[in-house]
Amino acid sequence: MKKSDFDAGEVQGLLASGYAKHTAACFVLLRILNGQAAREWLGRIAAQITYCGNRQAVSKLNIAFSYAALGKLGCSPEELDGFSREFCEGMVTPHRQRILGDLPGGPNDPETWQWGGPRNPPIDVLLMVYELTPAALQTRLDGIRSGAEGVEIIQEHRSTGLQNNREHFGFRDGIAQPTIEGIGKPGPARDRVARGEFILGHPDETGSLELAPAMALNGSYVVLRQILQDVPGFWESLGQDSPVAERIALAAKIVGRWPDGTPLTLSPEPPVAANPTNDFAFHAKDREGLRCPFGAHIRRANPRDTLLDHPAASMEMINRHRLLRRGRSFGLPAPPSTYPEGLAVKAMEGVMGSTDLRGLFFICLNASLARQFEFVQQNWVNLPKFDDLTHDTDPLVGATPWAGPGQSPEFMIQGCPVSKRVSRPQTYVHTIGGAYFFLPGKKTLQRLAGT
Amino acid sequence: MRKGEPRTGDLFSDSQWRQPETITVFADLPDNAADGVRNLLAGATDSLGLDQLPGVHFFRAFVIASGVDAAGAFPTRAVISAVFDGETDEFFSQWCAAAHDRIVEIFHPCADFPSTATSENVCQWLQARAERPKTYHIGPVRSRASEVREEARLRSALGDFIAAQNTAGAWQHGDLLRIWDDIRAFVRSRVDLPQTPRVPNDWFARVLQTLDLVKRVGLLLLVPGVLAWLWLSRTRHSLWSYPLAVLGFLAAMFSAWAILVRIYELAEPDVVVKPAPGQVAAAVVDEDKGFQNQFTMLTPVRDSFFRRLNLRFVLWLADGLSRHFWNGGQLAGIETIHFARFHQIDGGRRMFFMSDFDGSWERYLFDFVEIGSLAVVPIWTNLRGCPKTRFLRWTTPGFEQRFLPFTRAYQIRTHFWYSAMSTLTVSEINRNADIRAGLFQKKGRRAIQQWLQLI
Repeated sequence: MKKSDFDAGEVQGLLASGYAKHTAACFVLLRILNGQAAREWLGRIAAQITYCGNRQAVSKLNIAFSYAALGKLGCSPEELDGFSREFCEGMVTPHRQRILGDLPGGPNDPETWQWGGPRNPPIDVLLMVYELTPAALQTRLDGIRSGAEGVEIIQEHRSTGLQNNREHFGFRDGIAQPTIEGIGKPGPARDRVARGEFILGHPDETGSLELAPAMALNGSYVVLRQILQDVPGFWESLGQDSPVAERIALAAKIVGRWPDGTPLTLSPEPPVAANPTNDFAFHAKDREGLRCPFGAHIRRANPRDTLLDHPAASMEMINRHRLLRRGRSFGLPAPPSTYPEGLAVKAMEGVMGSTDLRGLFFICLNASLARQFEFVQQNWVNLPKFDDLTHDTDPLVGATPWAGPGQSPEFMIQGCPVSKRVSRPQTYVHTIGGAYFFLPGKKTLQRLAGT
Repeated sequence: MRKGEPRTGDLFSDSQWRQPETITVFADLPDNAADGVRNLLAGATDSLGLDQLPGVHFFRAFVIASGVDAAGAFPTRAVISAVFDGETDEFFSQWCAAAHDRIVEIFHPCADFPSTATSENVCQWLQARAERPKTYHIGPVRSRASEVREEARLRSALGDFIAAQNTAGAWQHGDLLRIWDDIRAFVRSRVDLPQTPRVPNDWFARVLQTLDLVKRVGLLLLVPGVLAWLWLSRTRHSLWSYPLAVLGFLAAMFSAWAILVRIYELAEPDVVVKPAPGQVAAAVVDEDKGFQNQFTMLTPVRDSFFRRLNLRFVLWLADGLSRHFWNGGQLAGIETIHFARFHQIDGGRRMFFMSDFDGSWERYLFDFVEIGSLAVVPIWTNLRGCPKTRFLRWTTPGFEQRFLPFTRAYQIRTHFWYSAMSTLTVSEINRNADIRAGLFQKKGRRAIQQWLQLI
């Protein structure tokens, strides 16, 4: 693919925004039944897609396709040649299961998934629908259902807007995000990354273009994983009989932030006022992990300036492995009694739910699934030997691919005079669905729709 | 050799001061026997007797297919490569004693294999085909397998002890000196844990190491030194003239070399190499099953005498750097490599690379490009299909995107791979060694605190 000038209007809006104000959202998973009819359906949908800079649109709609879908919509093998191996093969292969911790017989085994697994119907199209109110979402979904020709809706998953940007465990989420050069407001300098890290056809941090076919221009790869969160299990494992402050402090060590989002690195004691910032690094203030442990979730997912000996070199390296996260919660919050006092999570007003299952739709965008999402999962989140640790995985979301019989994962909390080792359950989260998609740019979407 | 140990092997060999040792055996194999050997190696469910050799770190065995280039044909070969403590002849004789029947079963079709195989003549047959690498990088430097095991046990026991003390609330006083005394008393009470620090190399080994460095610097300066001498011998000169002239000639030679490199870089065709369909899928079948992975690659060198010579020189340079500078657990910043070996085979027309490393193949290759490019790129750029560079060192846009498929394309399957300590990473091994070393040093409070952070 040749280097191209950038027009933000060619890029789907999800790259610029997670549509936080649009608290009513639904992820619609579809299968293509008839290529020609599906193209006509796509022609109608394509006109409604939200692109960057389209602030007027009240409703937001984005669309992404599986590799198989692109073939079903008429793309020739020559046109598709150059898409990454990870995207072409999909999320469920024996090797990829080892990378992502989705091991056979384990808690994330794709055999048990509710969608995207080998026992489930194929998912060709992902429609991401965002509205300001549940009523508007209902109306929009009715329209999508009635207009679906050539495609079959396999599943619809409503997202639940949670108050104060919290996720189900009770912590403020979505704080640490890279900002893309030329899109949106620039964040802290260390979080600014080149467009090509997320948008195909543009130079990345090294000035290179990720290998991709011409049709991938202005597109991005989407990772979607539906993750169940065991909220009672999480808080119970932190010691029900312990004082509230101790439980919260331990949970904060696991996450790396206080529930209000304040980083432990900036505030090792409970903060007086919330400071949910992403503008901090570890090297200067917390090289020994005495504030935010080496194994804490935020330190594994984004090790910032401490993975290499030199902080600047570490940041440079880390920025080659960033993820643009666009996740959403699903399911109603756990009962208030589940949480320590004052931490109960509440749903946005008007949100309805019918299931006790709750969790997160993990959604991230990247230009290289191997270098970004899979790398982070395998080498930082799931690796027990991360950064001088030996037996930990990510204490919040890490799979435990190498924990054998009788071996329980640990969480090491660096401390003075000695570090403390905390045993924890195998996992608090279970993946129950997942797939890789391609989020096309405007011209490619029009080409797919034949418009 | 360590202090107080009896000296064995060649008195002046590198193995006297640089351990673990490594050796690779290349044995010609008739084409019609290749599949049989491959299947035996790939299907082996035992350790080929290696678990009876306590000094072995890593071992691999595989078959490389015959091939041809413009200069001639390459035979099919059975290849064995091992990393072990001690001397090569000791390793071969111990292995032959432990697994004689398996060695004969697998390798008897190889050319000139003894028709009546005894441990002795099989050992000689292996020795006769053994080569040391042109470049050898050691991650856990001077770590014997026995020490690695002892120190892993020590760290684990200390971790359990500290956890138990925490649970019992025994150290709530927070007095570092008392904690330090408790820990040392605990170690003394456990006879299965190391009771002394590692024994350092003896004076002779240190002399050999220094001589090796002097020899390499001397070889680098030999030609400019002679030229400077010839030039200055015709004129009167001051004391400083000779070193300045040597540096001047060295700079001139370096510049000429750099210009020649650049000319070749510009003139050579840009060959794009991609893995064949299904090749990557076949390769990953064996990957990411534990903490460690391995990689074997056989690549044609760019087709010119200059490139073959250049690769030989760069490998020699890299070997010197690995011996004397990149010997603290990192290769130019990469800290996941246990052992890496480079051979130039078939008259220098092909480069053969083997590595045992921590983490995924992707991480390993990204580390090559992102962190350790100084050590890696100047070697790889001499290979056919490697994306182009500038002056060997600087990559061009798109390098990474082409480098990974290029390495996959020339990756060959390692049919049998054995890791003696498969759950330990290089950083862990080196950290465990630091824990042991610190345990036997006199310390103040600050040093005790720093040491405790290691556990």
